[in-house]
Amino acid sequence: MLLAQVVGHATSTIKHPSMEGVRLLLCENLDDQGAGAGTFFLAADWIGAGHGARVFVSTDGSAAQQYHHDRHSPLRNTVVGIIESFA
Amino acid sequence: MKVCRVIGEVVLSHSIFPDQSRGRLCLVSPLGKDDLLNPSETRISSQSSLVTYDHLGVHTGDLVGVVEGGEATRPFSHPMPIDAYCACILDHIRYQQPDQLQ
Repeated sequence: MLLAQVVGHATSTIKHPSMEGVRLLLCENLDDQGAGAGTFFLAADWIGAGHGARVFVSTDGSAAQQYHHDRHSPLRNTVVGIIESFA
Repeated sequence: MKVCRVIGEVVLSHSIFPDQSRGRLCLVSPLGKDDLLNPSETRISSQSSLVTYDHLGVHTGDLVGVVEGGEATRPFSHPMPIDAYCACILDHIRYQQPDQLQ
């Protein structure tokens, strides 16, 4: 599970068929103080996280495949929650 | 999934890839903050480059999403000796620094 902040998004026309209709968010890893760590990744989003939102991201591919109902999907990072606050 | 730029290709004279795999191997460089702020097709980031399996038909200079780990083999119905897979070719990336978001 990663703590991250949504800093953008990406669009793709040519992709694995299982990724049709999947929203791809550009996320930056956050450290334990909530500051950006300078490393970025793309995560699939089905819950509507907006720009600037702090999110929890699951890095378990099995969870993504079950949620996506496609066992051949290469998706791994999935936004599982939007953080209201953390201390 | 890492955001990477394709910087080259890898050609093997011998391999253990199954005959039915029709992809190829390409060399990609993960993008860092500087690369997102000032995109350049010629810049190679300071992060370690990866060799990834591709069957989407990427070209040098393309931005791609690369999946690492066990999920890289999920698209295949047969065993594949890879741990990085090019899952998508990115048309566009929009990046806004966090301090400009609020």
